[in-house]
Amino acid sequence: MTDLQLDQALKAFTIPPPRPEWRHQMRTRLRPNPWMRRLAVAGLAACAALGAAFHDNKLSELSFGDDHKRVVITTRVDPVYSKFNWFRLAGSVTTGKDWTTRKLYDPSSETAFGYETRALPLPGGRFRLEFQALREDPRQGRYKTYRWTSPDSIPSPVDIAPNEKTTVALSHDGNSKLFDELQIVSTTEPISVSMRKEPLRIFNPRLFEDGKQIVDLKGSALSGKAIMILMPGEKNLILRLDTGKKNDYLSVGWVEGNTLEIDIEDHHYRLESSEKIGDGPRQQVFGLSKSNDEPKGPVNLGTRD
Amino acid sequence: MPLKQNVQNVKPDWSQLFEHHGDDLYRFAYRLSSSREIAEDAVQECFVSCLKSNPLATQIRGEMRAYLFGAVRNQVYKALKRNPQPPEAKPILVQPDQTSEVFAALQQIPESSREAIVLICIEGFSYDEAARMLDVEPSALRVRVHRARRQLKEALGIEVNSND
Repeated sequence: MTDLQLDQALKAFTIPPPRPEWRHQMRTRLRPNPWMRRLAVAGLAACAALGAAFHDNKLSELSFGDDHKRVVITTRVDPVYSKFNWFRLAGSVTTGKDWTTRKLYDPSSETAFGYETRALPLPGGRFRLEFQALREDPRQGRYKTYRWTSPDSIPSPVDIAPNEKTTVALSHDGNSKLFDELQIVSTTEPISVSMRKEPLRIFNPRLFEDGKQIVDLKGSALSGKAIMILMPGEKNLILRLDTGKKNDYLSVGWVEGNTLEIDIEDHHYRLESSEKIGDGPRQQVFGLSKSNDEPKGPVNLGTRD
Repeated sequence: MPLKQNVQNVKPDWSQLFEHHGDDLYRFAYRLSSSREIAEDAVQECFVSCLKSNPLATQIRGEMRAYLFGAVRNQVYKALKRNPQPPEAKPILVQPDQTSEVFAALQQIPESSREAIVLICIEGFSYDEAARMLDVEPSALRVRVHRARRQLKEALGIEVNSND
């Protein structure tokens, strides 16, 4: 076989065509419609943050819990090719003393939706997952309304064993649906495997503002690409180790060992963890301050993608 | 169709670019991965990245077609890294003839050889264009293509001249 024959044979092989729905989806999403494009761009930013995986309907994964159990929340879409429809969303989990708030933000419509949940231990190593509506006043805040788009009701409590999964429907757009998959990872190890993967991990957090303790969440743990210090009625501080292409973040401090220290807007904040926070010996922290126009309330911590 | 948008200070029309190059990009991704799923995802993620960064045409080095092929190539390798065993690891042999044997052999040679021969011999890129895409010297790419042909022949059980 000559080189020419070899090249011809390579060219002649018929590649199986892509699925028609793929082509249709691509055309729809790339149509030069300004609104659509804005939506896509916003979505794509979220996509990068969420780190969408190939061949997987997973959009994002967050977790919360304590030393003995962690609730891993995996947001998924169905069908897998509808990721485009949901890329615009950013998610967060805010751990509280009792209930944990799970929110998704849609920047295009300035709405947030989600639920609150908690995991209660049951005899025999099982857990009861309970749900309730978001408690924020819908007339308050930057996000004007909080809504359940599907279903219009809060899920009933569900008893599950460790590693068993349950789902919570979040939203749908007629052609696709968005849902959370909740799984309890019960472990004797202090940190679950999923938590170790996150760049920032805080255990039994204590936060000090100018030397004065303002948060003590003993028994809680949070992890994520970004840590949020939520100051209702004042501001939210979003802290990251890696800003990617986000150019509105400024270098505000350092994380070293079990301590994260930042200086921002004339205040010094020190966040202490009972275990190492980051992976490196000393890493720079980048921060962003955003106004928080929710009703005044206690300072809390949260994570986001 | 040679789109000369790279010399204009405008945002590329990604929709139009998909219409012009989508099928070629898909076939290119399939040849690299032998997986329809990876090929579809790679093209989708390529345009996702383009929409996200939405660079000015002037910020894109070289021809738009080469830029898109380079982006799809990166997405394919990302996917293969995540899923070393793609769902359709073996090509769908729709043609039980020599062409399918050649395609199967293409999947057996190293990635660097495979992408070289696909870009030059199938997609018709010049050595300079493909070398820029792969970030190698054109002379090194010539060697790669030569080596790839030899590896393909070996994989097909064709006797290779020592001069080859």
